Amino acid sequence: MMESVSAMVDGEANELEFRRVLKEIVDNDELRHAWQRYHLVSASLKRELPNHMVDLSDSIRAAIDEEPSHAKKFPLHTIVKPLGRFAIAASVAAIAVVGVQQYQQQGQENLVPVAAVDVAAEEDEPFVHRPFPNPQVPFRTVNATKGAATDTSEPRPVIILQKVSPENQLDQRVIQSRLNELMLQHADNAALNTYQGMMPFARIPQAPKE
Amino acid sequence: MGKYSGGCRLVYPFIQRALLVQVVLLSMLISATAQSDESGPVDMAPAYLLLQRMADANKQLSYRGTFTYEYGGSIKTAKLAHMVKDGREYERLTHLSGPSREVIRRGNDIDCQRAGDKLLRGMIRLGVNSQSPFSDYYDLYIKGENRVAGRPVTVVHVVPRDQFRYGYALSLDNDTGLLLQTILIGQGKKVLERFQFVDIHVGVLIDESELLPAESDHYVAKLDHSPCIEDTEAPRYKGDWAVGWLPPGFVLTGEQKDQALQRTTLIFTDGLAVFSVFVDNDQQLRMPEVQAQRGATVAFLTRYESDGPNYSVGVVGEIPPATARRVAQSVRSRG
Repeated sequence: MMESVSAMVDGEANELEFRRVLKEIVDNDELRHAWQRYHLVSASLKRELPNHMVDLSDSIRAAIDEEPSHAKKFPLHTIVKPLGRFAIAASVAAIAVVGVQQYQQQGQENLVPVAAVDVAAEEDEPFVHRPFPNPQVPFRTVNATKGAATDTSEPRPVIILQKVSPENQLDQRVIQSRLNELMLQHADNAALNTYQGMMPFARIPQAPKE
Repeated sequence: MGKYSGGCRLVYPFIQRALLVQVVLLSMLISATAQSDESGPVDMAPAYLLLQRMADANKQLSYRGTFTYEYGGSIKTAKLAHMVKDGREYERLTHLSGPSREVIRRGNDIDCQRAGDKLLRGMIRLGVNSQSPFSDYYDLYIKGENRVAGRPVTVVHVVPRDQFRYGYALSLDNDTGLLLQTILIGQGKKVLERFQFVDIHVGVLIDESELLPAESDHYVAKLDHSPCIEDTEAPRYKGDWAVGWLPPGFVLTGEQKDQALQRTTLIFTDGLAVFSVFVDNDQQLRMPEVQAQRGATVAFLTRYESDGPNYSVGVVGEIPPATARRVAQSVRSRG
């Protein structure tokens, strides 16, 4: 079941899985938490995580539960109702989180806050071996979460995701320049050792110094 | 009063519409996944031949073109000229966007084959049972025809068989075998970066003046001093540093020692992905343990502390962060 939830988050669930999950998730806290967790992991991998997480799903569920039922007029809705509640709660929660995120974006420059990135997430994600979708691999050329106008032509500098030993007082810029230097050296190595020729040098943002 | 009750009644159509939208979205997702799963197990040989052809074409042909590099919502443009003269490569890469930058490379020997070339060409056998050197680590799929830079291409998907490496969607020129588009794909099919030619002229005469830098502060790319290998064995490293864990299929392809910087560099490849291991004598800075990422390039810095000097170990490459970390943490002094 957890696998089906994971597949749903990735948009890869089949119709049967969808039905099973939607049926089950209404009364299964564990599944709902998995759904939240997987979305969190997915968002963190895409670096779309807001600074502060606000979980409104429970209060929204409660509010919907308190709503007077209109179901008598539409007998069909007695079947659809639990599903509808969940779907509405989920979409409203999604909107709320997006809203908070947009608000938080201002003033946030190149550095992703250390706490916001769950680096372990990638490891925990089960490896699934299957072909890529055909015919086109989706590519997000517009980055909606960053200030697009200032950042369209120039890749951002190295982003430090996590300092594993935070007690170190070394200046961030020293670490950045060290990382940039290593990445340049690596581009040089990659240019010699891959089928791409000199193209790996396009990855290097600054004017390299000799 | 009348308005009020009307508003109440409007709630249901709204909810119904929201549900309808979701159902439509769901069914779109379902049909999309159903389509993508049609390809069963395939004979890898034709795709593999295309990759071998690509490896030769990129080195041996003369071409000039403009390409884009995209990642994380940003796009850069650059032009590339590549010429082969007397068995040597001459190249110049000029950035067309952002600050003006150039990289040139003069005189790389195209006949010298390194471990990466040999892997790609199937000259090094890695497992005993492997039918092709790739088949233990990647599955290859030919995904039909497309067009890039106005030229018909064949799309080959290179899908990793484990979580230690990334996947690729490569578009190869039907006419010449040149690689015209590379999409690097991470776990969860996430696109990490894309290189794509928008315009390319192959087999043209390149004037030597095209390969001279216009800017004084250009970067001169290294030439490879790692050994050209003659036999079918990957080179074995016998230096001061040992990498305790390597992702399966990766072999050493280069080794450099910089006396001035007190740095040892080891370069590993599985034929497609490359990562570098840097070991620096680090007495003053005391680099912290850091994980960083830019586009598809991941860096993991850690410390190696011995009784004698302390070292900073860095692993940089287009590999998953977990792979980089595991390699970095396994580096040990042989002394």
